[in-house]
Amino acid sequence: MIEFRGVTKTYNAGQPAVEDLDLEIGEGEIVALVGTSGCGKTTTLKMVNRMVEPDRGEVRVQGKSVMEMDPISLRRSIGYVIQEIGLFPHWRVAANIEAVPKLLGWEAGRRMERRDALLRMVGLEPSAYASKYPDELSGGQRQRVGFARALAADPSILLMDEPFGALDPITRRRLRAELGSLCRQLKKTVLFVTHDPVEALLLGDRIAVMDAGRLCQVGTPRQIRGQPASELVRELMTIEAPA
Amino acid sequence: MILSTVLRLTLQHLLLVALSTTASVLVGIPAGILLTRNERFARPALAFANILQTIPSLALFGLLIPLPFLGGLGTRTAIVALILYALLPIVRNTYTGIRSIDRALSETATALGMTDLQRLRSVELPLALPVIFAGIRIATVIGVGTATIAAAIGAGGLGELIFRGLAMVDNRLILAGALPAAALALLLDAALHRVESALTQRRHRQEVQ
Ligand SMILES: Nc1ncnc2c1ncn2[C@@H]1O[C@H](COP(=O)(O)OP(=O)(O)OP(=O)(O)O)[C@@H](O)[C@H]1O
Ligand SMILES: [Mg+2]
Repeated sequence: MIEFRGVTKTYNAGQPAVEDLDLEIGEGEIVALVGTSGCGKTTTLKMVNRMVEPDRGEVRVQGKSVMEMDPISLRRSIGYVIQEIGLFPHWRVAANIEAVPKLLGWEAGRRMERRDALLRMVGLEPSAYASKYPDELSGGQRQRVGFARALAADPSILLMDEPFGALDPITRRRLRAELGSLCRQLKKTVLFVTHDPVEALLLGDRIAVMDAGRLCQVGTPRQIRGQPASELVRELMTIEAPA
Repeated sequence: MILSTVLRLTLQHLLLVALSTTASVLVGIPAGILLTRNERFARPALAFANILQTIPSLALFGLLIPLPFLGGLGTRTAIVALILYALLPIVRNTYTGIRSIDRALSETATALGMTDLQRLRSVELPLALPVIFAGIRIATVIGVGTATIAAAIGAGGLGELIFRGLAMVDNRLILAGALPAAALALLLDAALHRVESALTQRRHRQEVQ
């Protein structure tokens, strides 16, 4: 579904942000990407929809090299939830969710139907929320809308960059459980970044651990917890006892 | 007699400002947008516009006169000078208005699959609109003031009354030029504010500013 083959990306001639990455994400699989800040997680994610282009190696989506696809239609076919959610503040919730369907030229009736279905799916009542502006929503509600927007055109692939960051622990837990099971139910192929080992262990079919641009271990939660390949992996996946 | 003269000169003044500001908007906004797409040129271009702005207006009018095509005595030269003055606030505000949009938003627009033009039209310009409009309003108000000097090179406008008043040491003549000019500046500023409000569909406009 998504394949990285010897992918390297270096920004302005410094240390490579991502180096010689090999990773495969199967259809319907959920892979969590973890690692210390600056290790190249966002860069990895962005190379899937060509927001960033690799210097070496190849990224393939559904068997096709992304460099051979039109970046605009590639992006419209992949759901993306960025680190800061990025809802357009001058657009109502409805317009935000309908963004990609509109770009794809869906007619208004179909867009509205889809939008209402999505709002219900993420637990927001359409009549109450569709016409609100993002600044009238709580952080958790914004996150739900961002998620709905990513799903709007029913992409088979979902990229999420710390989708549950910046939420209080309770909202985070609830949203994580809800949206996680939604992804599974909808059989999406998901690559998501997280700093939270619990999140990675709970949601990921597999976990990919990165350090300084390199992949240090990929495996199921059981493997990663049971046989961490290095001290760093063990440390990253350590669950702190609640204080 | 004096009233009809004041009226005629006010209209002339308005025309000078309207023509030059419109031209500056038509040139300045695309130029500002292009600078956001070519960061390398942004700094030198803005520096150049800044320098233009620092040339005393009387001197700039004078410097333009001997130039072929652009120069000469009269309205055309005045309009060229007024365009040059109006350019900086418009280019700068367009550039900074777009640049200061949260990077996450422009990035999201791209990630959703917007083309560069779609992103510009539906995300960057609407969000930068208040800043761009502030630039246009500054340019207009400055333009009304600077246009009074256009009379010095025979372009007419309310400056005629002011210069005549100065020469004749007649305060009433000076005021007959200065007061309508001040009123014109306030009026144009208010009108542009209205246009801006109409363009901004968002209800809590004050919040955004
Ligand atoms: N557009 C860019 N230009 C130059 N350098 C960049 C750019 N984006 C990222 N980098 C650098 O590449 C490296 C990897 O960045 P990246 O954003 O992929 O890290 P990350 O793992 O997502 O970090 P975080 O957990 O803090 O979000 C960092 O050293 C960063 O400074
Ligand atoms: Mg990141």
